[in-house]
Amino acid sequence: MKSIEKFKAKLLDAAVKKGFENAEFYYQSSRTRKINVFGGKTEKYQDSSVGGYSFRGLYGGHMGYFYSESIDENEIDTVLENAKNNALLIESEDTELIYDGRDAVYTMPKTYDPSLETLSVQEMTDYALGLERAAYAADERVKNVLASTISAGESYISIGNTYGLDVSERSNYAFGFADCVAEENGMAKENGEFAFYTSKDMLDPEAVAAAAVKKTVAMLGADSVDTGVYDVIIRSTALADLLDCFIGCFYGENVQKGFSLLGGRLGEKIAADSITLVDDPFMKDGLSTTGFDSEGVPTRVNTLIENGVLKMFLHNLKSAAAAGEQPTGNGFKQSFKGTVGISATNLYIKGGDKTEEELCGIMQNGLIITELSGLHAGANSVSGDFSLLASGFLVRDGRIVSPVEQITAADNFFALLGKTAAVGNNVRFNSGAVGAPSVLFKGVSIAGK
Amino acid sequence: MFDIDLANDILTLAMDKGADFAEIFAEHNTKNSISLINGRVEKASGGIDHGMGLRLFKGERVIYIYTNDTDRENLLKMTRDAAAGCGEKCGEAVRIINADKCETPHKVIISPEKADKKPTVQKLKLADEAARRYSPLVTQTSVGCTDSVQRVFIANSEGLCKTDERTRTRVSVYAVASSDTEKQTGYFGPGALCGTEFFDSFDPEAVGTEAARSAVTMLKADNCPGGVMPVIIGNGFGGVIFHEACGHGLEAAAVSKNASVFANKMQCRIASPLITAIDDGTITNQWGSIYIDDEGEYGRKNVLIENGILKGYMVDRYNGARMGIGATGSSRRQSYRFVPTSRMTNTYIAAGESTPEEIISATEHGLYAKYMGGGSVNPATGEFNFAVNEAYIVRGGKICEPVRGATLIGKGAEVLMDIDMVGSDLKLAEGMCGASSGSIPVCVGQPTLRVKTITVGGR
Repeated sequence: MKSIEKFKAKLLDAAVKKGFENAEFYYQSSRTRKINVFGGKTEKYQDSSVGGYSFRGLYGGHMGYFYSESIDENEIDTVLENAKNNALLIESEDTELIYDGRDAVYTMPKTYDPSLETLSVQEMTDYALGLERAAYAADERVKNVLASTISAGESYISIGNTYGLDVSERSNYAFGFADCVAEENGMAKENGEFAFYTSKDMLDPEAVAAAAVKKTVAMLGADSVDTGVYDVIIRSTALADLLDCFIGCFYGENVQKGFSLLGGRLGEKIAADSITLVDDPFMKDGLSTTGFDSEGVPTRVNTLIENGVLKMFLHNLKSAAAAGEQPTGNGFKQSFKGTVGISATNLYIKGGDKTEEELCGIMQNGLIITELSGLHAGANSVSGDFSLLASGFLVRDGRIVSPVEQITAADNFFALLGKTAAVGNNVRFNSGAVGAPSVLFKGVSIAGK
Repeated sequence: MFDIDLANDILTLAMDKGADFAEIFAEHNTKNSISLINGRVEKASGGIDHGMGLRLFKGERVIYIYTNDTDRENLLKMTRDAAAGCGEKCGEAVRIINADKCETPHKVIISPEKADKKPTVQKLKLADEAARRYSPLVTQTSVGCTDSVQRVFIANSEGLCKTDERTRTRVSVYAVASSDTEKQTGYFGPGALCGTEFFDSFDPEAVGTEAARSAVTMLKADNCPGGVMPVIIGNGFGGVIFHEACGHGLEAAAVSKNASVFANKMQCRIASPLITAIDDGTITNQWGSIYIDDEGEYGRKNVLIENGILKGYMVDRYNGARMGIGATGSSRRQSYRFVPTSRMTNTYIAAGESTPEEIISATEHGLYAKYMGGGSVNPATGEFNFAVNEAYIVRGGKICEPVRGATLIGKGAEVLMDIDMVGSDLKLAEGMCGASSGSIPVCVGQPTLRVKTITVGGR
């Protein structure tokens, strides 16, 4: 770390000399190990250690960026020259800012667990073998376990700027994933399950394998249903995936540039009373838990929708300034290679008080949608429209009667939120740190037979 | 770009420690991107990726390490760690003398590394202005371009050692049309395996106008009715149907694990006799082309399906060894951070004999999917889904009103059999394809064609 501190000082110093009014150094390094077993043997072992930094600075009032993966003092001038040329191209009048965080107070959540440091290659292999074994053992219809994987990662982020900002965070995790194919009567079904671990004692391959197999075999014998309008329960993870597509509508920058349908609707009712949407960066064991954003701004809990009413948008420094509001600690970039945009952290729809069985009882007749596919293509993040391949179960008289495949579910996401009839108590997060409970919606268009 | 002595030392060390095969992939990649929102340059950024990956085989095991600390001692230590546990030495590394500097036929006239970005910005503005001029309903635009110059060094323990330089340039034009309550989008993203001269090869105003026209047309459209019907899929990006529904299932990565519906079907009929499908990495300057793949094999023209009969898979070294067949110049990866695997390049359905007009006039009732959006597929089951960005109802052999929000779903193996008319107007279109070895540039393509029946999602 010492050499990074020295490099940071040199770079920021050289930037000021070159004429940058303010500048920032963002450094990120990570080590990731990953094991995949197939057929009782290690198929793939991966070990990486990578790092890099991004420089950004204000030149003539505009922000120029350039990154590099070599911490090389000889490269400093090239990096600064490129960043300067990039700044000179910018025409937008909204100014990006470097954070003057001299008075900032940080609440740092727990993101690092020493127990994961000791996770050995042997323990990882045992986990992955256990996953595969448990998946085959769980049901004889499991014909192929395509993936039995564990990865263990740790990363370090450090941000410094010419205002004297100096923040850093270490984090680590392990991630397990099983994916299996089950066959019966000539029909094949495939599905997977993941688990995110923040300490070694959480590792439980059998639970992941059992969940993957349960999901997969449940769909054997599935058939389509007649085209029509159905009441549907969208299961927690499927609803989280759907919500994931439309988060951008809550980002201040999209609102200001006219890319969000929620523009101008602050204080209005945009969802049913039972819908509350929260972004919580301090959530225990959250995938996106962090104490500061990529600009160095302290994170905070933000409530976007409260009892159906749109309360706020998420901001980085630039969109907050344009809106005349405080930054919300959501100025993130995907990695040091990206530019600062806006991102939620651990975003979720708050759970209600109903179990999924109770939701079925309320619905009586309709569908449970357990999976939505093709979200990157079939959901329009600007219009809110979606038309997606779906699968799940047919429910009659409050009970699941058979699995359903080869249907599409189509609606508008914001219209859907208004059609909420009941909210489940089973909040689950997807692998993108977006969470939801199972929710019953009235009248969704289903295309099938 | 990578020291030959160091390469020899790494490969020799790996083989001495018991690997069956060792391969170095080193990369230096300069990237730039510019984006304009509503006509003004909003962001300009760039950077240099720099790092190397070492891949070892031991039996069916793959060991992959990567880093951007390319210091000699670190690399030798990582090699030693990676090969630990490989066991007895079983072969020698063939010593490399020189790197074969591949003279790529995909010529670059103006390297983006040296190009002044101001003329580029001017061209982007032409596209932007054309989009906004098209209609007052066009309320937002987002226009941008990205370029990259990727230099690679590939060396393996069998004595292969090659370098290659891949320069790519791509433009994106995104128009949003709005009414009081709705927003619809139109998108175009032309690109090529070439330098900044790419901007001279197309008319930015035409691209901007077309994105705007598509957005405005969809704004005025009613929702697509759902149901089962004949679907005519337009040429160009319509080829995404083949890419997703069949192409991925013909990649050796899926076939070797028996995770594809097309496994064990060589020389069998898997498609309508009207279908010939090809993956061609050799098309000059085409977006998805490669001169050498990411294992150092030359790109090729591979016939996948000929008159409906399965003729070949796309094969990389690892999965080829498992299947007992040779590699086909199909091994690709996003960067040194990914283990390469079998992937597509420019994949298309070859031209047939019907004119697009004949196909439409032969359709009493159905859907014309003029522009497809993206989609995805489950290779194990062949289940796919595609969004349709611009669609029309066909009635009485004529294209009638536009409809929006259509999705096509089905199973790849069934759709291939159900294609009953293939047009003569083959066209390719650029896209990015994501899979286990990362996001890579590819082309999809096809002529206008008709599928007898397909489930259309709508409301």
